[in-house]
Amino acid sequence: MKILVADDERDIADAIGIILKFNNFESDVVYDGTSAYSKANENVYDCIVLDIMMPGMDGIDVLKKLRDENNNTPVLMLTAKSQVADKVNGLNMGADDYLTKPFNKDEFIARINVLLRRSKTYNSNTLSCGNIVLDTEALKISNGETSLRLAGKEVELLEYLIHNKGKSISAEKLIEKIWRDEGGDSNTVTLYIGYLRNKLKSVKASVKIVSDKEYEYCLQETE
Amino acid sequence: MSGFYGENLFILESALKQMLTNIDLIKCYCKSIGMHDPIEHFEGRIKTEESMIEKLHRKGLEPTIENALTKIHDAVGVRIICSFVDDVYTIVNMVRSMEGLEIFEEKDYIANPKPNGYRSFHIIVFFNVNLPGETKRVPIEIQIRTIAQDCWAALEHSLHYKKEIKNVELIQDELKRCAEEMASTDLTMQTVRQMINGEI
Repeated sequence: MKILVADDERDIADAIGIILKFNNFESDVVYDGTSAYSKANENVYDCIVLDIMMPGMDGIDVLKKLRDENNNTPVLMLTAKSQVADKVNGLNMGADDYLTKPFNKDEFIARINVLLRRSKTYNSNTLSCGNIVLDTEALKISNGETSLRLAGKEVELLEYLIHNKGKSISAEKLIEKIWRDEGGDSNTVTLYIGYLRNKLKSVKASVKIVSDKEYEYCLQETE
Repeated sequence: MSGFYGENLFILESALKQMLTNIDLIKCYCKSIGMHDPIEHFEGRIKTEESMIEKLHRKGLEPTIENALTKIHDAVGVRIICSFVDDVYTIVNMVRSMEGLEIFEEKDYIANPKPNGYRSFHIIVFFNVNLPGETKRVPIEIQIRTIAQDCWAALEHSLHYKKEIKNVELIQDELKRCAEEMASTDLTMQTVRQMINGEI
């Protein structure tokens, strides 16, 4: 599990990185909003910890931009402010939880775990990407005219790729997110990516799964 | 049947036989060069007199033999069933390159399924039939589809004979859902074949 941490108070940001490492999470730590936004676009994170008050883009700006761009990674807002209005604003902009500094490290980790546990159920039933709509409940993709049913794992895989459109994702990460403890290896991923490629093509999707490096996959708009 | 088609029945039967032979030759050719045979099975039929007359009426045409052989294009029909979706297009290309015929119309209901979920590739050709002393031009409708698409079409067709079906909309939705599941399974099977062949 990899978490992005953004806080302009370097001591606090680094301390959060250490707490996460101690609890077996990987993390990237940045110290301003602009870096947080670009990191969130470059990499796949399981959760983002965002401070509100940061120079340049503040935490709310970063959050709003990510949500506007369909990035549904769970976000925990952190701030020294304790006013109710700030909490409400953050939550309305798409934050998933809120923690006021100073915080207890055990509570922080517990809240991160809750977000990771819940992240699967946060998403709506339909996801649009290019000219296709994925219905995660009816298990189908459609271009508006032609529809095709998908198997459960195909839906989970495509949903994850859509949420991380434009990013290169390793087979290892996909096994961790989609197959979890059920057993799956790079061959399983190759086969399921093959299923989705053929099925996207069949509904004339304007997106495709490219693989610039072996065992790395990225959903992109077709040219 | 012979009453309506008259002496033309011989021409239609000859067209059917020659087309079926051509298709059989595709199978033999694939076997001879050690290539995967794209054809699972194939069949053909001459449209019965009753259904031809019914179709002419339905289309608002006079029930004459001229109309039956010029305005309607499936007096002779051939169906080719393939194992995989890719095979359908392989066969389409082979039909396109057959000698002695002209493609009149192609309809790709696999890329663009009918609203009810029907999937198949239809080609209407004008086929030159070699008869003693002359060559006749006969329209033939060729339907090419996968086993799964054929299975769906057979079930859907059988329901047309059942009068007064309750919950028509529900049944239509369910049939469409089956078509979408079977189409998906077709592509899953094709992907598995690609993996076996080391193509992915």
